[in-house]
Amino acid sequence: MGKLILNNYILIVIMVGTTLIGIVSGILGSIITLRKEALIGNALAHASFPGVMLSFMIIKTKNIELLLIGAGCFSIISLVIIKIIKKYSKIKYDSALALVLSGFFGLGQVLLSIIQNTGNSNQAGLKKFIFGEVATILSSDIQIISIISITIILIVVLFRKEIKLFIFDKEFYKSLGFSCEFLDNLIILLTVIVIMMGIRFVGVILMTSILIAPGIAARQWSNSFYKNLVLSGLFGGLAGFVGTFISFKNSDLSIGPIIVVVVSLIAIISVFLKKVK
Amino acid sequence: MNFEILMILIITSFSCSLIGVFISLRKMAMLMDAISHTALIGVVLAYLIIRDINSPFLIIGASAVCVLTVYLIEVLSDKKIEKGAATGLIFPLLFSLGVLIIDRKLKNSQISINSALFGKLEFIIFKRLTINNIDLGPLALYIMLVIAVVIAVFIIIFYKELKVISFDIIFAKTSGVSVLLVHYLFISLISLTAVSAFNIVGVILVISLIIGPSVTSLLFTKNLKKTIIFSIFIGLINSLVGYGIAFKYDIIISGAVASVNMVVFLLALLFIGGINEYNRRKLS
Repeated sequence: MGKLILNNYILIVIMVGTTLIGIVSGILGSIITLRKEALIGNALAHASFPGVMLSFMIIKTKNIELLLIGAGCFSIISLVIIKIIKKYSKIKYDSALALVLSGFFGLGQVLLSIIQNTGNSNQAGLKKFIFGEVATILSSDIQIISIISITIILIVVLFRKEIKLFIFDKEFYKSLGFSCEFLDNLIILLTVIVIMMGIRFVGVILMTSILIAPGIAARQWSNSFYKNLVLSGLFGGLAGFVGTFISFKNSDLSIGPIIVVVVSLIAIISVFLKKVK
Repeated sequence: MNFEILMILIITSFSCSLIGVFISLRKMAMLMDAISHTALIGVVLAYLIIRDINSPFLIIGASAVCVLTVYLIEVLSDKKIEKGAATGLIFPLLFSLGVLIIDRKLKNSQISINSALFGKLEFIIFKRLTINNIDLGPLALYIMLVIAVVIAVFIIIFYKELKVISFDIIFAKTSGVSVLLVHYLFISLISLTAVSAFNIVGVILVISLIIGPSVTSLLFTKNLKKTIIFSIFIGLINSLVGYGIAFKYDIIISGAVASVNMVVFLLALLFIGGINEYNRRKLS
């Protein structure tokens, strides 16, 4: 294995990318799972799909940064809609999530079919956002991903005490004079950024898994919040690393589903080996 | 305009919006999302054995896999994992396994990821039901008709039980309703719907047809019977409008209907909000 990795520049580049994305999505996912909002990532990731399509329709080329910015914008729009539904109706929260994720993904399908009708030759590969693909990843992408990942980790480290209080003792947190809205928005914004980076690798449908599974796995090994974050990041990173390697060895298998299988197995094994009460 | 496609869509929409009411009320929307995704691995596994995508045994086998998924999620929930997280752990895993099996074993078969996600309403009518060389119409139409009848009959028979477990599960348990039995019968039924609809309209439209019309009708009334009738009616209108738009602009039907379902809900929400605001101002 060592030799194969060392001799293969592309593999190293992709592995660095998937490992980093595994780490940050593990950390952020652990936070949203502890907040009992695990499935919000599912809705946000599905909702990013029409964003990719719409920005492609506007710019007409596959400029990956702009496509991902479109994705992020749509995730945020979907979040606003979910919040509006929550505020102005008595519709159950998970119904709102299911409605928004299917509606937005449907919109994405519509836009995709419009793009296909126009016959723009640049469109090939847009479908790769559904399950992810790594063939087009460049080392310059990895530099950007590294910078963003490190920034996200630093932000979480900086706000770790506030986040901990915010999750476990909201009343006390409020009484100290901190703003709930700020942290709420910060966590969601970071999640959206992780989704924007991740959908290229694992795709919009399976993104939810690499957010949730590392958090569940970590929760089985420790009761400490900080240890949970670290473990979750480690599990996520490990899954990205191993998944990439397996997919590289078996080129007929898509990378996104493989990473998901690896990370889910880590979680399920952890659940059955459970250490904490 | 293709009348047969429209009929299949409307009948599917009828089944989905009918059981959708109970799914929305019972907070099972994301569980439904999970079931409709795992329909993929159910269909894949059953197909590996049966090798005929239209066999009734395939639908039953795949439904059994979906019921098993729900059981798995409930096992994890018992291990103190929050239900949402358990759902989000299990269904991407099974969906991924389905995708990987197709990648490896079922390339160029009747199952494709594309039709699993986007549906194949546009092509479904080419598979005909023929007896003695007489063309009786598209096979999918008959499959969905049978499913619709099964669902309607189930809901009429178990209406009381479903009502009780939807609104007051504790009362249901104390009053001697076999909650577990009705629950699993219900799960089997939605699995059956998800699998059969999955083959035709795709994962995303299944969820949309189930949740969209039912939550829209829940905005207007609290009466269960009225909710069901509204839901079916809204599902019908949405399908007609969605199909009309898809036909006019030559776009994918499943995506168009799913978008219409969401937009109609949001418009209804805006409408209700406007009325409430108007009444409030008139009072003050």
